[in-house]
Amino acid sequence: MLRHTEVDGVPTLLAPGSGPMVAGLTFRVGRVDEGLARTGITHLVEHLALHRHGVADHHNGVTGGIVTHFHLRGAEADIVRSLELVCDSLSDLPVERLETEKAILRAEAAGRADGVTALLPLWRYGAQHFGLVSYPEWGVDQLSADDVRAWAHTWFTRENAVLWISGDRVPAGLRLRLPGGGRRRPVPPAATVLPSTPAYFAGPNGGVVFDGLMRRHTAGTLFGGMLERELLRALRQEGGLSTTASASYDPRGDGFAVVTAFADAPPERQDAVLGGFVDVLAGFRVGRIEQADLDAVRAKREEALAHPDVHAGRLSGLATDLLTGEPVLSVDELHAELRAVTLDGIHDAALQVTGSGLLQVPPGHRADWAGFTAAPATSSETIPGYTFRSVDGSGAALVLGAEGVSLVEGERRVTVRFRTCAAVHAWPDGARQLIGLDGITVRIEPTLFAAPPDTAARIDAAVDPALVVRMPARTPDAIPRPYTPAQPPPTRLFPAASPDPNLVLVPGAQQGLPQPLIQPQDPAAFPAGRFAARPGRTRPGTAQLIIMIAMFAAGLVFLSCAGVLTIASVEGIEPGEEEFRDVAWYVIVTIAWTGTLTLLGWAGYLLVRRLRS
Amino acid sequence: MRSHMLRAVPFQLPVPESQPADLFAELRRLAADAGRGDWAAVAAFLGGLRSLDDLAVACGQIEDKLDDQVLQRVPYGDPAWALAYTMLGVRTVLRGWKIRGTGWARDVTRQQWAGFHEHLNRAEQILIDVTAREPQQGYAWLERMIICRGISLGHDEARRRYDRLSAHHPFAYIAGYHLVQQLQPKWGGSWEKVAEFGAELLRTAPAGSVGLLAVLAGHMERFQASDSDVEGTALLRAPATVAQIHQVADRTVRHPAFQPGYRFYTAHDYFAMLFSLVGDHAAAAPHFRALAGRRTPLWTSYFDNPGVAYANLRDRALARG
Repeated sequence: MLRHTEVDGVPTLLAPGSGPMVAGLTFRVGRVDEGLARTGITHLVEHLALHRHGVADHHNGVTGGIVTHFHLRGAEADIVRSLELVCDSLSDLPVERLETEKAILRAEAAGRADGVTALLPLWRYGAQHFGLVSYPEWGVDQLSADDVRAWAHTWFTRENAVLWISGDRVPAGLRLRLPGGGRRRPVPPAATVLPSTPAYFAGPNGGVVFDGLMRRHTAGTLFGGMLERELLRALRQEGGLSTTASASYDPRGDGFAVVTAFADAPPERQDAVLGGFVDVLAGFRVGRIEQADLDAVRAKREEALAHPDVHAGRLSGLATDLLTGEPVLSVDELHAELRAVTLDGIHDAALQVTGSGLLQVPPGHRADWAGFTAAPATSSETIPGYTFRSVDGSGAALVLGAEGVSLVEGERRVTVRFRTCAAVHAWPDGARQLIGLDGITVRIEPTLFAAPPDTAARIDAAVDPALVVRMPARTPDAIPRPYTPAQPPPTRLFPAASPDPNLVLVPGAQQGLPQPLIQPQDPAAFPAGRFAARPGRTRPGTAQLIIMIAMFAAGLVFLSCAGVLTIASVEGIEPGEEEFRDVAWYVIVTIAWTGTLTLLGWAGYLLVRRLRS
Repeated sequence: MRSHMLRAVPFQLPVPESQPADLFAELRRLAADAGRGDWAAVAAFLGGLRSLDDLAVACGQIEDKLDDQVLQRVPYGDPAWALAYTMLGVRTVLRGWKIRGTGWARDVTRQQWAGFHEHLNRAEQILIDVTAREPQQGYAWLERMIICRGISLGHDEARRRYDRLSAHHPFAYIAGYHLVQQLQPKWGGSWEKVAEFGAELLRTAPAGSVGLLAVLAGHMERFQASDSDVEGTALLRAPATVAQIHQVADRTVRHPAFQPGYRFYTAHDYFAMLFSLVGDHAAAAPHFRALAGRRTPLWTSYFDNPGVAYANLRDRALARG
């Protein structure tokens, strides 16, 4: 059924299929390989490679996390011609189309709604490798013709490709003139930034999302099916809480697989969906698994495998397996593996997945009560360096050091070290946003901190120039201003803590302006109460103004008393009272003058301070 | 708690409170077994209780008497495992409350809150396990309803837990009582929600069901939360409310299918206090007679001088009844 061969040095998989011929060329390159400052480069190459086909044909490209596919469907002669065009384009990209394709990518990005599971990779892996799929295509704007050519020649090589065809033979005369001299590229390491699991973070509205890891095994596909079934039963049928629930099993390309689950939650049912979701996971964890459920899910899977076009349908997945060095299973082998899965196997998968789980809860919710640890949204340490207070007196501080930058607010801190920096966004007005490989973000707004004028230049010089992403100029109203009491008071606790690029897009802006972890221009970013007076640092408020005026008034009263008393003591001294006046009178006059001087002096000091600040 | 409209009469002797163990001989024996650490006897007795209400009352008598180690030794697979681990959870919650204290939230220190939450979270995780392994364990769902309130997991989650409990133990009074607590304004709900739940019970609960008593809990809570005795009594005396109290009586204490178990005194306590408060002392009389001079801790929840209030209301009811 499945045949292996080779075309021009490219491993080729053949499997029979009905209908028109389907063929594809798959490369082991995807978003996980890009680096944060170059996100979108693979997608751009894919677009350029398909350009010569025009848009009306049945050709398509898909840039995934670990692989990029070119799909073709049609008559044999057309497929031969199309494959050759793709290969020729990859050898010699039509870079004259670069700016047009960039514009198309930007338009695609603007029209693309992010999936509900989009944030999980970022919280698990940070801003590198597997975490990059969470980020927007930030690199596209500044990629040059040389950049995309170099990327194509490094990754889209014959050594790093697999051809697959639905049919019993390779079409006559097919040539794949791909760049050579490359090598088969392994998937990058999947290093987690989660100190402990199961972990949780608060995401946007919409539902509860979860993923967990397991060693790749057929039991995982069945576990995913059973998890979906149980979520639907508990949350939709039984509780009437969710309208949809789903779960999937996806190999990661490194011997592990990710099981992802989702249940939607209408705003008024979020607590209960979260509670029900946690209980479904707990049921699998403790091994409350029914044979009948396993059998039902297995039967469905076997039914799918019985489809006449199953061999052709599996080709792109098998190409991925071949490229990532994983076993390429035939349908019969898959059947045998499915049949061998027992309840113990499902429980083992469930234990792995729940143990390594990452749960995204609706905003304002927690999951510590269910045994999930909060995923880190802040850094554990502050960089040593010079500290600059925020000009609004909020108590936030920017720290600029030789090794990196920090923002500190109370006990919370975010730090990005230059040597583990993933990207720096640079605005012409001097603002800089540094994103660490761990996904932690520090935004430096010159208008908010009294930092030296050469701060931006120093940061640019301290990081690898390839990591600096030049951002377009901002309109004046997009540049933050210090907090003033006229703005709404702070209400939320540290909400911008999510290093989530999707939450950070400025509404309506074409270029998504990423927001910092601490957003000094946003009063909501500070814990409530942080704007209460801090002696010596805060701008005098209304209360202080009233105190100042009151002191002036009291001082004037004392002044007039002292004046009257003094004049009286000089003028009408009545005989016989001198004895008394010698003692008490002068004490009273002294008190009056002392009071006058103290009150007026204090009020004057407050006035001077107010004028200075 | 504010003082009740019926002031203490000087010569009235307060009627002391009776715990379930004082009212039922077998619960007294159960408490003694628990005091000796005789888990086998405790488990055998509890295993024989069919209704969740009886189980909850019985467990309430021994939760503070058993040792954690005794409970932890019960192996998974033992028929009493879920009971033992639920009790562990309950004990963890009790320790949490001991740290927090029972005072106003504003008087609780940060450290006390942290300890309280830590204990409730730990208890919740024990009980998540219990309900995951044995979803029919109503006692564990009940404690999860209480924890849900303690750590503010929300109304819908409380309702979900109530529904999970009810799937196996429909119309348990104690579950309805805790849902009424959750639905009150003081826990972020509203009196409309309490009333809706009461109407739902009247619509769905079969005649004779002990769960209908939760409707009365709603009325007593409403009375207690009102600004003044006059206002509270006026609310209770609304014709619709009086009619509802009679409706509940017709379907519970006056119904042949009513089997209150250990809730016998609770049921009569509710009607004795409610009929007295609405001024229908004649209707209260049979309930005071049924109580035979006993009262449960329920009175303490609603009266400043529960013993005296009980004695006064009883005397007025029995004088006229």
